[in-house]
Amino acid sequence: MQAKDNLKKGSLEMLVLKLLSIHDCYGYQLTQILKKLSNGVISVPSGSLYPALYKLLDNNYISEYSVKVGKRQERIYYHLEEKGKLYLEEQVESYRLFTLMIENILQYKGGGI
Amino acid sequence: MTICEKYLKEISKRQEVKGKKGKKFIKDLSNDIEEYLLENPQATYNEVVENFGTPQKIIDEFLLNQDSEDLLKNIKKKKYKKTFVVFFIVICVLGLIIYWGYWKKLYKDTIKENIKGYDTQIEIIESEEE
Repeated sequence: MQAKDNLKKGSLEMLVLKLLSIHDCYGYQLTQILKKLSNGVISVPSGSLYPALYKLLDNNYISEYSVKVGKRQERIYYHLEEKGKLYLEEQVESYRLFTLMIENILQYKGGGI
Repeated sequence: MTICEKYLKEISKRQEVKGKKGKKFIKDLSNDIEEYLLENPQATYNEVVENFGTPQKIIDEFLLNQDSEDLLKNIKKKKYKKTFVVFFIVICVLGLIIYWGYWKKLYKDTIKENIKGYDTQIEIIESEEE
């Protein structure tokens, strides 16, 4: 199953916010953590990650700051803001409700409606 | 040229990744590739492609995940740009026609003035036979 293809925008935002609620991360680090935690099932390409991060930045759910690493290398760290914490709670709640409803539908054996 | 530069050059070649966010994306992607190469110093270009996807795939994903508002903005920008170019060309052509017309008139007037300057005498010589 190609879970990465099914990973919807909303879920990606939620997962990113969840990771940022633990600690500040830079882009590449986010993709690596997601890969590791999902045993390689969820692989987020940069082309999907950054538009999601830019949207979160535009809405002030997260902020960014840069840290110089070595002579040329620069890391852009993302930080979860208060507004983002509230948004994460909403996202998790609606995700749980949604998966519960999906489960209900999958358990449906006919009749009773 | 480094592997990172080669990869980013392939992406920059395509015209789809434009604007403020497009430039930021290229920079962020560059940082990611540098991070990957720090972890994997022996990585080849093909391995970078395997890990990040082909340049075309990266662009496709970036465009697919764009906010609809941003996409609309880009489309509008393109439309304005096109209108401006057409308007500019029309103005240039009109300007050239007016300029050409002015010089043509000036040339004709000068010739007329010069002709007026000469005294013309017409002599009619009647033949004696008549």
